[in-house]
Order: sequence, then structure tokens, then C-alpha cells
Amino acid sequence: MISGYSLCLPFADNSAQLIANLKNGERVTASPWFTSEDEAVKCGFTGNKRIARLENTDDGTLDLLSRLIENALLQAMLDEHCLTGENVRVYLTGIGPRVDVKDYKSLYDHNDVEDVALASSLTHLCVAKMSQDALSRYLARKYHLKHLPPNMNSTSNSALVAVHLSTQAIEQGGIDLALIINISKIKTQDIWFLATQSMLDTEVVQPFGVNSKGVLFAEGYSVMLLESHRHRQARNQRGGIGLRSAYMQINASRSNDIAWQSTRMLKLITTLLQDTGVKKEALCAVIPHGNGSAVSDGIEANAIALLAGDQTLPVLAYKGQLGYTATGSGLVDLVIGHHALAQRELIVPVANDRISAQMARHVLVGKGVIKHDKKHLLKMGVGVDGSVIAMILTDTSKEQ
Amino acid sequence: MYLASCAFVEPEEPLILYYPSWLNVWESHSYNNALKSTGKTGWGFKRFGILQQSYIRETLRKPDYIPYIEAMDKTADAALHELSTKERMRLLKSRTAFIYIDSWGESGVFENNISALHASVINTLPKSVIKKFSITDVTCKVRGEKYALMQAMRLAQDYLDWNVFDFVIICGGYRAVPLLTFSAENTPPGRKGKTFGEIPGINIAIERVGCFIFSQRESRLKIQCGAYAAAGSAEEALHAPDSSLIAYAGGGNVPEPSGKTIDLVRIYGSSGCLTPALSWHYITHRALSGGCIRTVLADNPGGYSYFDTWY
Repeated sequence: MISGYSLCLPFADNSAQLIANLKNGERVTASPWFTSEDEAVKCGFTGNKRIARLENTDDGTLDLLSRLIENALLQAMLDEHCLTGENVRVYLTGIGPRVDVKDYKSLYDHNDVEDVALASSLTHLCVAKMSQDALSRYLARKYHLKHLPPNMNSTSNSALVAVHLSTQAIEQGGIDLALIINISKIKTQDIWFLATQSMLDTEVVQPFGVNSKGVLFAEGYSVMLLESHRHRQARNQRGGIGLRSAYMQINASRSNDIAWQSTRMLKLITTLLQDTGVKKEALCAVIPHGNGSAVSDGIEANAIALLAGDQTLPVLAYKGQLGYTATGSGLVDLVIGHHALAQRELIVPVANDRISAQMARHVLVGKGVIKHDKKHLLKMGVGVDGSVIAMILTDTSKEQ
Repeated sequence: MYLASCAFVEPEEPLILYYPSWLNVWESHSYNNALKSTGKTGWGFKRFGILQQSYIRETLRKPDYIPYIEAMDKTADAALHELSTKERMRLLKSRTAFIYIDSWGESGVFENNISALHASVINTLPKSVIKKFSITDVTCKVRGEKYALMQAMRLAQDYLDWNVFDFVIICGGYRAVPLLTFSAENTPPGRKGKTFGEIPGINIAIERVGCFIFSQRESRLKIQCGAYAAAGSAEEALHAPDSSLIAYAGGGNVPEPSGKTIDLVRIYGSSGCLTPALSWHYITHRALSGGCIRTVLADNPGGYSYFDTWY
């Protein structure tokens, strides 16, 4: 069960604002990563890249994380003492503290006393500035955790892999609470990596869009608290949004075969629907990974078309509007999915481009809210590491 | 859980004494700080991909990365073939998860002229190894400097105990990038350093790659991961009643070795996140049997992580 969540994105400072801004049809503000076109070219790019950034979070990361954790616990009506038990696991996900290559580029091999004094960014190049261990220790000490939280990375699916593992652990009765924390701070090397993956090819970003061949890369922090049914019952919490998930690793030798990956994704989804006893007609919506990248959107479009058959499945893809939070976008989508089921309304994202013919009848675009009376939602995730995840969110309050 | 198979590969290249050039002030500064905090007089490195025909101090900073990636393949092969044929077939057809670990998160940016493909192998996931093990279940990378292996082992133990997976493979390596190796040893602010040469000898950093296969099926080495002991509550980690030996894997104040304690870094050199796994190396090399080693990894302000190995 999803008991609590909290986030801070360039699009919205918190989850309430996220929903309000989506309803108002607002778009995230992107700014150029490099100070000039010249700098971008010097750094090996074809031109400047526009990124949605969180301002002034470098120095206050720990405070921000603490605030988000406390907000998520507050929403769940729990306090931080609940994290101290053996029945709890905390997972850090994403790309944590790191050094930006721009800080020491050209100075890594040769630098003199004046360079160090004048280009103070060079002094960032030390383990203390990129320590995942220090962050893990900080959380373990602050919340008196039994185990050091590992920092898990599975590219775009980082947060969703942790959610998947946590749901498995909860289903098997191993734990009662799982806290998943995502940190997505962008560095120049990430932009370089996305550029090499053809994910920053166009300024126009629209999931399943005709002219979109890129993502609107965004930073963000998010936290989600998952809780077992028995733990909720023990503290007289009824209803809520349940979560079931399935995972598949695409065979590395087939990672360029879009048709094969689509059928594997379809198989994963249909198996999950069968296991949970959910019919596709009972889905209020599908929230795909849909980030605007031509390759992963193509895989998902095929899978959705095959799943829908003659019917229409409402597809909600928000990443053209609120940005694509690297490694943590899955948690943001789960927050929106939670709202869609709990409030029984689908928030329709605004479009930046025409939707492809294959997906036009499925993808909801425009502005506004559509009421519904269904109790399931499908979420999908795709990572460049070959991970594919499908999740079913279920409103359990209607079962009682 | 049990360690079903374990394989290490280390470089065939020689150990090289390294000190930064005066043309690299920041690295020299980090080197001097690290010598102060360790109290030793120098630093020896053994790295994959050192080109013998090049200027040795230059190639030590920028070795070829292909031998490192290939070593990962070799170690995965070795771990797979250490299993019996029956067990190997079981692994390939079971619910097998794969965890990739390394010490710096994304050391790809420190490699010389690396391609995007190879950067993603080093930074994200070695896909050829995934293919070798026919992984269809969860894969992820655990990023951490010294804790990565122990954190991955905790994940493995949890999910094997909870019957989510039948096997968990942990595969990873340690890339001894000099600047990062030095700055990882820097004394935290407010703590007193040592004097130059206070401890005899030099620091040794040895790149290693390792592949470890864990399962619930009984085998020679039984592993139990312990809870994290924060500063002030380390007694539990250091005074295990049934431990016959305590193996320190570096990280903090390591006592002088005695009959009951060993210092893995002193015996084998430091291998970052893989250092704790050297206690299994120790058991195999000494042909130990009928006992238990508690492997302890200390952190700077006084906390401890540990796991026990019964052999």
C-alpha cells in the first residue's frame, strides 16, 4: 500500500502543488545548461541543452531530504520512530551526490597553485563531494536505521526497481515498511550520456509526439512510503491505494530489437493483469514511461496498441509538461496515479506536439479533469539498462 | 545464506609506486593529506590496463579500461564454472537477481577516451555478464565507496530469506583512480592526522574484480549479515561471542593484528568496496575449517558494519 509520499520538483515544490499545476495546465520552465552556445560546443555538444533545474539545492540536500521524509511520514500518520525497526528497509535510489565533469575538465591532468586558487571548482574533485556512503550513514544515524540504506541505480527505473523490490518484500511478509528515496541531480556527464542515446535530439518534447525525439530532462527529489496491509490494519488504517508489480530484464542481445521488446513488455503486462485478476477494461488509465524519446516511446506504443486491441485505453503521459525526472520519474507518476485513483479523476496533460497516428486514439491531451469510477491503474517503466516494470495500482477502499 | 561460488581476478600488471607530479597540484595536495591521515610514506598501485611501453606515472593515471571490463567477464565465467553443472543449470533457470557494485558510482568519467558504450558498461551494468547468467529478474547497481559490497550482501540476504529470489549474483570491481583513492583517505575535519612515516610501509591499492553467487542452498561458506552499529554502539559488532576471528576490512581505526584479529588491507592491500570479500580469500588460502570470521568495516566517525562467515 502507498501510505505517504512527498516530492520537490522544478515543476512543483510539493505534491499538492504538482496536482494543482497539472490541473492549471502549467508547463515546467527549462533553462539552458551551459552559459553559452560556445561553452556547449567546447564541451563537445552540438549546441546548448535546455534542462529543468532545481535551484539552490546543492548545499541543503540533507535538509531537503529530511523534510521530504518527514512529510511522507506525516501523510502516513507515522513518526520517524517507526523507521527504527528490523521490519523496515530504506532504499536510496538515483544518482546521489556527484562531481560535475565541468568542474575539473581540462584541469584534471595539469593544474598549478593559481588554478586551484582561481578555479575553486577543481577542489570539488574529492570523494567527500561525491560520497554515497556519507549520505547513507547520515540517514542511518538520523533515523536510527537498522541497516545502511543502499544507493540503488537502474537508470530510468531506479526508483521503480526499489518500489518493485519493496512490494515483493512486503508481499512475502519480510517487512512492513519501505521508504524509497530518490535523488535526481543532473550533471554535465548525464547530459552527455543522454545525448549519446539520442535522447536530446529535439527541443520539442511530447511523449508519443510526431516530432519529438528527445526528453525534457529535469531534476527532482522524491520520497515514497510503502506499508504492509497488516501494519495498516494494526493501526486502524482502512482503504488506500495498493500496489502490485512485475519486473523483466530484457536480454542484452535483444536490446536493439524494438518489436521483440514490445512483445516482452506486453507479456509482462498481461501476466500481471492475470495475476492480479484485473481486466484491461477495469483500468482507469495507463501511465507509461513515455518520456519523449523515440526508442522507448516506440516500444511502449507497440505494447499499448497490442494490449488495447480494438478498444481505447486512456494513456496519460505527463513528461512533456512537467519534465522527465531522471531516475525518479516513476515515483512522480505513482504520485499522480495515486491521486487519479484516490480522487477518481484523471488530470489531462497539455500537449506540445501532435500525437502519432498509432497512439492518437489512446493518449489523452488537452487540459482539464475527467471523472471516472474505476479502481485500477497501470504504470509502466523502461530503463536503458534493459529493465521493464509494470505496476497495477488499486483503490482498495472500493473493496470494503 | 550461503556463498555458492566466489571468484576474484586481479591485474597481472606489476605493483607501481606512484606519487603525483608537481604539475598536478590538486592531486599532490590530496596525496599529502592522505599520507598524513594514514601515517605511511607512499602509495603503491596495481591497476588493470597499464601499458608497459608508456611513461609509467602517466599510464598509471590513465590505464586502458578494456582489460578491466574483460576481467569482469573472466571473473563471472570463473564463478559460474566453480558451480557444479547441476547447480549451474539451476541458476540459469531460476529466479536470479544481479547486483553490480563499484566504488565510485561512475568511474567512467575518469577513464581515458572512453566510448559511450563502454562508459555505460562501467557506470551502469556490464551487459555481457547479464547475458552470461541469463538474468531475467531484477538487476541494479549499488553505488557506494566502501559499503557497496556489504549493502549488496544485505539486499541478497533479505531477498533470499524472503524467498523472492533463488540466487543473487553480486559482481563488481574496484578501480583505483589515484585522486579518488587519496581523497577517500583524507582525514575528516576536526580529527587529528598522523605524522609522516608514523606507520611503517606504504599504502597498497590493488584493483580487483569479483563475482559472488549467493543462494539458500547449503554450501561450504555460510554468511550472515549483521545490523549497522552507529558510533557509540559498536560493542556488538566487535565482541561476537562465537566469532573465532575478526577480520578488519579497513575504513577506520584498525587495532594491531593479534591471534584473534587480522587486517585484510595489510595482508592483501586495499580494494575499496571489495576489501571485505577478501576474508573469503583468506579462508580459502589458509584452508581454514570449522570456525567463523567476523568481517568488520569501520567508518570514520566510529560506526561499524559487519558480516559473519562460517567455514
